[in-house]
Formats: sequence, C-alpha cells, structure tokens
Amino acid sequence: MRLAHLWDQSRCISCGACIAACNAANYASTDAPNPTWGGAQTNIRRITFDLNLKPYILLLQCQHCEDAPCVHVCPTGASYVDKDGLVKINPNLCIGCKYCMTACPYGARWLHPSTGLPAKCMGEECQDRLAHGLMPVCVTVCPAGARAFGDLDDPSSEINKRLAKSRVVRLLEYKGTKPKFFVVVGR
Amino acid sequence: MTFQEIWSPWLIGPFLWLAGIAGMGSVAYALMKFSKVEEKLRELSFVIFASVVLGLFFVVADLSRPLNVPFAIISSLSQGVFIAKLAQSWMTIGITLLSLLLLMTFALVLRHTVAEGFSRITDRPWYLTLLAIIGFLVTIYSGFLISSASGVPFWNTGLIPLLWIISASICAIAVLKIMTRGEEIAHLLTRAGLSLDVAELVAVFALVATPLYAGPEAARESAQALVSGELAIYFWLGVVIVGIIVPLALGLQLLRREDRRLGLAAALCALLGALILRALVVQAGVFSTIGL
Amino acid sequence: MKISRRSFIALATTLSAASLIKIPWKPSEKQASSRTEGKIPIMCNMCGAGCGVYLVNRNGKMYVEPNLEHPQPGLCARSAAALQLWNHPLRLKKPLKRMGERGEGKLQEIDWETALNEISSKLKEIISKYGPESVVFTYHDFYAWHMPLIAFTLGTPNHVQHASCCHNASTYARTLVLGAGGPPTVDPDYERARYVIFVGRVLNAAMGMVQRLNKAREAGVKLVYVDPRMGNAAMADGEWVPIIPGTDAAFLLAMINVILSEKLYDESFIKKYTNATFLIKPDGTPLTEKDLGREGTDYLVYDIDAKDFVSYRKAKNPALEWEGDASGIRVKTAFLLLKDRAALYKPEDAEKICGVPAETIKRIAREFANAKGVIEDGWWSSKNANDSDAFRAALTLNALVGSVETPGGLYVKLGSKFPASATAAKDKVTTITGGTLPPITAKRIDTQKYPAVPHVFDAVLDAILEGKPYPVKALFIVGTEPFTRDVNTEKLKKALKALDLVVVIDVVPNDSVDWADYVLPDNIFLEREELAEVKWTPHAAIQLSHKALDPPQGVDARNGFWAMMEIVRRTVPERAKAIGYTEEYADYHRFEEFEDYVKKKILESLSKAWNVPSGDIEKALNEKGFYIFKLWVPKPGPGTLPTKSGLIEIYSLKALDYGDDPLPKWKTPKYTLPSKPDEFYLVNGRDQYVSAHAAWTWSVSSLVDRRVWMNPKDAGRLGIKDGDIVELEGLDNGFKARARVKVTNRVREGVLFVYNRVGGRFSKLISGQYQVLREGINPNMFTLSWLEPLNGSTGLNSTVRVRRVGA
Repeated sequence: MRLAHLWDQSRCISCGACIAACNAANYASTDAPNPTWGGAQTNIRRITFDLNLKPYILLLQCQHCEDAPCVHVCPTGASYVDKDGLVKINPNLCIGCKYCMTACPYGARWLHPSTGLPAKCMGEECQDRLAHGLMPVCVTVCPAGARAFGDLDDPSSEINKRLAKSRVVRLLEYKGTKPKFFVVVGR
Repeated sequence: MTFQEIWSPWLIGPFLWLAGIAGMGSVAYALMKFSKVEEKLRELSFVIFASVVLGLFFVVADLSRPLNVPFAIISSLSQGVFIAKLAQSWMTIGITLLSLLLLMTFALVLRHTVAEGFSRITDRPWYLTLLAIIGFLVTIYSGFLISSASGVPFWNTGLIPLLWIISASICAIAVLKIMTRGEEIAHLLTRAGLSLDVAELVAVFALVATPLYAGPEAARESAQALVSGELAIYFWLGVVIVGIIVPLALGLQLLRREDRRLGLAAALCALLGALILRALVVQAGVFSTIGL
Repeated sequence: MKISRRSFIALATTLSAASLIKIPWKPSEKQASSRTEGKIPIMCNMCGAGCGVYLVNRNGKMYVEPNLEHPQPGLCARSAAALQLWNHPLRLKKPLKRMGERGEGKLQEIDWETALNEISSKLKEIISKYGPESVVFTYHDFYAWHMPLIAFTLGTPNHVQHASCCHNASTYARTLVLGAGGPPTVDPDYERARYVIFVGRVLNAAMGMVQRLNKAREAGVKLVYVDPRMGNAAMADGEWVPIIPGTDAAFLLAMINVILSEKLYDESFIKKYTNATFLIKPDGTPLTEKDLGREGTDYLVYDIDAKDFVSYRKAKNPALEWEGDASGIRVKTAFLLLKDRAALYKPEDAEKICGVPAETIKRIAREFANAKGVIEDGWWSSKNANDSDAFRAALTLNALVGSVETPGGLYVKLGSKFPASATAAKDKVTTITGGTLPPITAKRIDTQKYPAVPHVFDAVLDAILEGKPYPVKALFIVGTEPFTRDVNTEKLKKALKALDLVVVIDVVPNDSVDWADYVLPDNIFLEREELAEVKWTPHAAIQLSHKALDPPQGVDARNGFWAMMEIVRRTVPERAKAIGYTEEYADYHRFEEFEDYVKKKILESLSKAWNVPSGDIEKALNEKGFYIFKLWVPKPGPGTLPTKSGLIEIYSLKALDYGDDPLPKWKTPKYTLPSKPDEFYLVNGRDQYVSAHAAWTWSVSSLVDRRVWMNPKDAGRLGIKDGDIVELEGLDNGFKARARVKVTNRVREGVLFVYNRVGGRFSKLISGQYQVLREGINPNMFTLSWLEPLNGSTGLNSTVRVRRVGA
C-alpha cells in the first residue's frame, strides 16, 4: 500500500475547515497555541501568495514522502515509514532532537508543547479512522470536494481516479523526497 | 523571510563550538604526544574533556524530550535500529562518536589526575591515533550534522564541514596559544594559525558568496541577511573582523616578534569569532521556499 | 567496543530509572464528555447559515463532521471550531451586574434569581412609565424564531434584528422584483449552473451552496467574482473582477446595456414571465383597463396579433418594444424604458464609474447571456448605502436571460410552512402555544421610518435619542454585537448611555457587555435543542438540532429562551400565563417541558399543513436530523409570484407604491469619496471563518488576519511595506485607529480591505492569548448613519486617510 493525499487547488475555497477539523479531531480542540507555527495546534498550515499576479494558497502538511528526509536523519529511528506508506512517529524512540524538523523542506512538523514530539499529519485520531475504514478528517470535512486520500497501488481508488483526470504537480520535487501529496492545478 | 527557529543558535552554536574544540583539541593532544611535547598536556586534557561535557549539556538543553534520551537510545539499540541508523543519520554517528570521545577524554583526565596507571593505555600510540581520529570525526560530524538538514538550503553545502574543520583547528590552536609558554611552540602555533586564518577567510567567503549568486532562494536570503541584512553587523564585526582579520593581523605581527599579550588577544578573538560564526550560521538558516 | 563493568552498571541504572520516567501525554483537561457515542445531528449555528452537521463522538473524542444527507450540509472552519467556543476560557460563566459606568466594563457576578428579578423590576418600572413599546429586543440569528413570542407577550412590537446592516438592500430588491423576502428565499440553482456571477459574495456561507456547486464545478461552471477584494474562493477556479466600491449597479446596468443592444436576451421568457411588456404612462404608472374606460383593472399590453391593447393575462403575442398612443395617453413598454435607462450606462461610461474595462464588461455580459447564466441575488449587501439598485439590476439580468426558476438559474425557495412563534394581528396576538393576547396598538419603530423592509436598528437609536416616534428606554441585546454589526459607533454609544436598562445575553464577552447593566450567559447551539427551517436549500425542509452537551463545568449558562421568558413572566405574569408560560418554569430544569410543548405545536402545525403524520416527521428528525416536505425542481419559468402583477417585475410596481424609481440606477455612495493620493475606500467583508462568535475561537484566530489589506502599487507609492503600522482617519467622522498593513494583490488600487468582526475589540473582559482580538481595527467605527431610504440598508464601507506611523 502506498497511501497518499490529494489536494485540488483549483477547487479549494480556503475555508479552513480541514485546518480547524484537524485540531478538533487530533488535538481535542485545544486552544493552546502551536509553539512552532503560532496559531492553532493542527497538522495543516496555509500560506497565501499575496503578491502573485493571481494570488493563490498552498496547504502544507506532511507529504508522507517515499524518500523522507525526516526518516533519514532521525538518530534513533523514531521517524519511520510504516507498511502503508505513512510517515509515522514512535514516541518511545524520540529524544526531541528536532533533526526531523530541520530536515523537512516542507516545514510540516511542529513541536507539541506538552509531549515535545515533532507532531505532524497523521494525528492519532486520523490514524484510528484509517484503521476503521474511514477517511482522514481533513478529507471528510472538505465542503468543496478539494481533497482525496487513498492507496496509489489500488487502481480503483478514489485518488487514482482523480489523478487520472487532473493536471498534478508535487511540491519541491527536485529535492528527491518523492512526496505523496498531489496538488491538482487543473484538468 | 523568517529565520528557522527550530534549533536555538545559542544552544546549538555553543554545542558546535565546544564539539570543535574538543575534537580538534583531541587531535592536538595526540599530535603533541607524538611530538613528545609534554607541556600543558594535563591542562589540555581538562579542556577537551570539559568541552565534551559542556557541549553535551548545551545540546541536551535544546532537546524537547531530554528525559527520554536513555530509554530511547537503549530501546533503539536493542531493536537493532540504532546500528542501522549509523549508515543514515549523522546524528546517530554523532551520538556514537561523542560517547566515545567522552569516554576517551575522561580516561585522559583520570590519567592526568587520580589514575596515573591509565597511561599504560592512553599513552599508547594506538590510543592516541584513535583519539585523533575520533576527535577529527567529531569535528567533521558537527559540520555534516548541519549540512544534512535538508530543510534549510543555506546549510546544505559541503563548505560547512570544511569550514568547521578549519575553524575548530584554529580554536584548538588558540587554546594551546593561551595555555603554553614555550617560544618554539608559540612560533609553531602562530604559523599554523596564520595559514588556517587565510583558509578560513576563503571558506567563509565561499559560504556566503556561493548562495548569493547560485543558491536556492532560501539560501540566498540567508546569505543576504549575513552580508547586508539584519545579521550583517554580527557577521562582519564578529565573524570577519574579530574572528579572522584581527587574529590574522596580530598573527603577522607575532611572526616578527612573539608577544604573550598579543598572542592571548589573537587567541581570544579567534575563539570568540568561531563561536559567533556557528551561532550565526544556525541563526541565519531559512527554510526552503515553497511555491508553485 | 568493550564496555567496562563500571559503565555497564551505570547504563543499567540509567535504563531502569528511565523506564520509570515516562513523558506523560496530558490529555486536555477540558475534554468534552457527551451523552452518547456516535453521531448527533446538529444545526450548526457558528454563523447564521444553519448547515447540517454531526457532532461525532469517537473514542471519547468529539468533533464535527458534515451531514452529507442533509439538504444543506456543512462545513467550514467555524463549524469545525465549535468545541473551542463551547470550551472557551472566556465564556460568560455567571450573570453579571454593572458596577461602574456604562462602557467601563466593571462587572460583578450575581446569581440568576437576583439578575432575573432585578431586570424584571426595572422593566416593570419602565413599562409603567413609558409603555411596553419602549422595550426593544435586538438580535441576529439566535432565538430569531422565538423573538416575536417573547416580544409580543411582553407587549412590545419592537423586535429589531440585524437586517439593515446585513441584507436589507438585497431583500428590498427581491421584494420589488420577485415579491420574495430575505436572502434564503431566492438563490442560484448551483448544481446545474453553467455561469455564476457573484456580486460582493465570496462563498463565505452557506457551505451547502459550496457542496451543491461541486457538481457544477466538475462540469466546468464558470465563476465570476465582482468585488473590490478577492475573497478566498476567488483564488480557486474563477475570475475576479476588481471593481470600485459602491459601483456595482453601474457595472450591472452596463451589462444590461450590452445584452439589450446586442439582443442577447431570451425574448420569449421575458414576454411570458416578466412585466416588460406592460405599457407605461408618462407618470410612470402602468396602463390599466380602467384607463381605457374598460371593465376591470388588469394591466394592459399591446398585442401584436390583435393589434389592440389586451389584458396581460390574455394577450397572445404581447409587444416587447412598442410605443404609441392609447386613447390619448402616450405609452411605452417597460422594456423600452429599461432600454432607455440602460442607454445611460454604456460600457465605456460604466468603466469611468466602476473601474472595470469596457471590454471586460462586454465579454462578461456576452458570456453570461450565452451560457444562460445566473447572477447571485445577494445576501449581506449593506456596503455603500446605494446597494439595493445593484441587486435590482442583478435580478433584472437574470430575468432577461431566462434564469428564474429554470435549471441553473435562480430558484424561488419552497417554504416549509413553518409556523410563526407569534403573530400580532389587528385584533389580537396569536401564539404557537395557542394562547392569545389583546392586540398591540403601538407600531414598530423602524418601519415607520423605513416602510419597505423591517429591522432597521438605526431608527431605534433615533428613538432612544430623540424620543420619536415614542421613547425607547430598555434594550435587550441578544446574541448579537452592535459594535461590530452597526454603523455610527458614536451614536450607538450615546444611545447606550441614554437608556434606562441595557441587558446583554451572550456566550462570550462581545464588546457590548462593557455597556450592559446586566449580562446573562447563554447556551451555545450544542447545548440546546432547536427545531428550525432549513434555510439555504431550494427544498421545503426542516431540521432538528439535537442537544449534545451541557455547558462545561463551572459555566452556569442557561437557555436564553428561558431567561427571556422568565423576565417576561416576572414583569407581566398575567400576559405570560395567557400564553401558557406559568411560574412552574421558574425551575430551569422544568423548562424542557415548555420547549417540548412548543415543539409539539410546531410539528402539529406542519403535519396539518403538509398532511404528513407528525410521528413520521419526528422520527426522521430524531434519526437523521431533518425532514424534507417537498423537493424543488427546475421549470421553464416561475409560477405566479407574489408581486402585484404576479410576474417578475423588471419594472417594479411596488417601487412605485413606495415612491421609488421603478427601474434601477446607479447613485453615488453617501460617504465622502477619496480624492487625494492618501485617501482610500475602506471596505470590509468576510471569508469562511468569520462570524461574531467564531472570531473568538483560537482556530479561527489563526486563520483570520487583523491587518488592513493594501494593493502593492498603493503601498509602493506611499512608502509602506508589508507589516508596517498605519493610522487610518475616517474622512467623514475623523475617527482614528491603527493597524498593520498586509500588502496584497487581493485588493484593487485605491481600496483598503479589513475583515469585519475580528479586530479592534475592546471589552475589558478579554484577557490572555485572546487579547489578539484587540489588534487591528473595527471598520464600523469609521462610519456614520448612512442609510438608504425606504429599506434602511446601511453603508458599512467608509473612506479614510492613511498615514504610515511605524514598522
């Protein structure tokens, strides 16, 4: 299995539902600030390109890279890729050196204030949802049909269907991370 | 443009500096021993051991889960993961090397204080060679550690390990300059220091100039901040002038005539500059620019 | 490497010690506990849209998911952050009483009984001196259905909602052209739309619209956003047309110009479904049978086949463009008058007014007509105090291309026949409980000044300050925030000072709590049950929001309906008794019985109206959270509309009754226009995380910004960099405030944008990390009482002078 996210930038209305829902499901709706990103404790951050001729946004979260630099640099193996292709954290092995955080070119990790873990997508609740055949919360709440998630190795998966009919780019592809977060930019 | 705030420049900076002093200081110890120089070896062993310990304090202070360190490392070892990681992560290598250096320099301290019998091991050529290799590797590791953090383009250059070796060597020389008194050794140190100063100037120039011309956007922003932006005053004053130019100028003077006080001044400036260099490099890091 | 024995022992000791020290995962102490596992149907009320969602409980974790079967599913960031509002550290916990002066924010906790008794005794005093009509309830979405019952039982006609600062302009347009009402009554058929023009709308709400639009987006619908600012949604697929504020009507009239002159309209639709064929006399009124001395009062058209004037009901081939003589009266078809009006707005002329290039206007008009597109009919439209004309023009355009009740056009919502909570007729007041009361003789304050559309709060302020049409002495501010809602903050403050009693019922310390005599902590929607219409759907449907949670520990918040009924009962016990609200309900725990009774009566009424067993409806409400009575389907055109003619009135006869222009035109806004290089329009608006209450949640705080948006060209010209601090000074009222600048291409030159509701808050009760709410500006503070005549729609935009003050 190679689980991957899809985000359709041409459909995304930037409503923030996924960002707030991730906080609600994975971080118990806490209002404790996110020490790394400021703002809320959530695995998704949004950047707006205001000075572009046509301004646009990017939603950034863990890309679940197939060649993840965070896995590469982790001294103890706390950061690892599981059998389904998700990049995960094993808290038992994590010493909080934050090498994974400086290694991630997407800035996808943030430091959880109580555990000191370099938190990122997928949160515990979303992992549990996957284990029970549900979609991650960000996909479930999106009102604009701008998200998909699934197995790249399954030809009939929703994500493959959408990839087949979309123009897709990946972020920072030249870095060789082989990210599994597909950004749809058009048909 | 915002600087990275993951690694604190005032915790990781001193860590790198102390690792360099301990590393190249160990090389210096071995070289001195091999050259049959006995002067100040005891004090040097104190300095390098203290540097390792202090360095470890600084690096542990930056950890966000320090209490889990023993459990995590032992767990990782017992699962066999740690061994495998030696081939992937410079930090795994670093933890291993620093542990070794800690033990080896502790043995030196014991040999020079309460356990003179240790000299049977520590004075042996194989021990000294091993010490020098470990010391050198620690210095190299402290460079590759930074340059392998692939989220920060400014750091992703082989120039950093190179610069760290040069700068740490200068630090070791400066430490010796402060400690030793002999005329001959002072002269040797001055000459070595001068050549390394020139090398450091070139390396620093290359470190900031390359991204200014060819770098990815984030690396260019880091370089710009150092050369002409918010960090410029610390870079030019701290790293270039105090850290390189002043010791260079003093060194040229010392070549003509050794002087205790000038030597001390050059050494202190060099040490300070090396610390500021590392702190600034960590501070100046900017994460990759992401966009479509 | 050999480990010496000493080292091994050291390692082993460390290991055992380490296993005892585990990094604890501290679950949030404020973990919500719910009654049941699973999904609870909720009508989200984080803003006014009422989207269908579920409160999900999985593994003891609670969060919100959309209810995709609901006719109007959610959700957005506001909904997702609902539990942060529930759990908010600054949530009002106990009733508060004012200690200092109004505006000082010095409040002290008191118990519920004291609060309710003191409020009632003050009310009794006020009513005895000035009559019950001197009491005004102002509100927004919460308890909107209940308000007539509360107000009429007390004896006042004055329940004045937020509408004049919201949708009165578009509602006036809908009333005039379609005989329709508020924003949910008409909306685009998004699923089948081919081309949608949004004028000042950014898909901020409701999310059900976004869900319905998904199908169309997959099919390639073109979305056009006409707005001085690029909203979030416009960053996706769509075209942003940057327009000068206050000039939408000129743009739309120019579109009419193009469509009429290039004959891109749907002639048969116009003839059949609109009153464009009516013959208009020189005085502007339509020709009737009576005018020609015939029997009857029908409006006349010129039938080309019959070569005669025929009743519009009977004409076979009415002329669209005809002018001539009718028994000595010069008449002209309304269509020709529309053409004459549109001729004043050639694209090149409109360009000078609205700043949109003539070529763009022409292209969009042609694209719109060729695609048989739809122009969204407007919701929040109180921007420049000239906005109703724009929406009249928009509705006209929809009619011209045949986009009313047709697939991909505007739908006229099927009402669910939801009964009112109380009705004040000439002879008596009837209520949902079955009880009746003697009639209320005093007339509403607002419609005396603004007869076309009610809920104009500025008229209430006038009554407070001038005593006309009669004095107002008590104000209940219920779940609404006038400081971020209304125009003319200075006038609001004066009025609040002049009142004898101010009561605020809210959930968090919105700014008016600092000005209240009493503050009562309210439930949020998750803590109470509510039966309501599903608003933003074409279908006739109702929904039941289930009670999911009790207030958090330590928060003695109580149902605002109960609090208000208690106040009414303690003030006028006989009247309360007459409608069935008796003293047993003083026990808060028994109020559920009264609510159940009301619910039962509503279901009875609906069951009767739709001929559906009450039990069936209730079952569906309990299981799925909604019930659909009737589905809307697209048709070739509208049926008989509640207009005077029964047709789409592109020439509005209702307008004539009000003495208003029967055709739209562009009027200049009421604020002073910018004329110097450092003068700007200041516009405000939303995106899908903004509402008065959602602004309090931390998740929304991190999505919204409290900066003033400025175009890079303006910033460059004034030497302002991104993040700099500027001072804004209102051109019309001299009000000054500071904010940081965001330099962005998302706003057109000459215009500044700031989010409404989220910045410049001032309540003394705001503390801790939430002090960020004080940053930025409250744009309403730069306004004066700019109101349209007849409908009272306010102008929340203003104009300011900008001065850089720091980095």
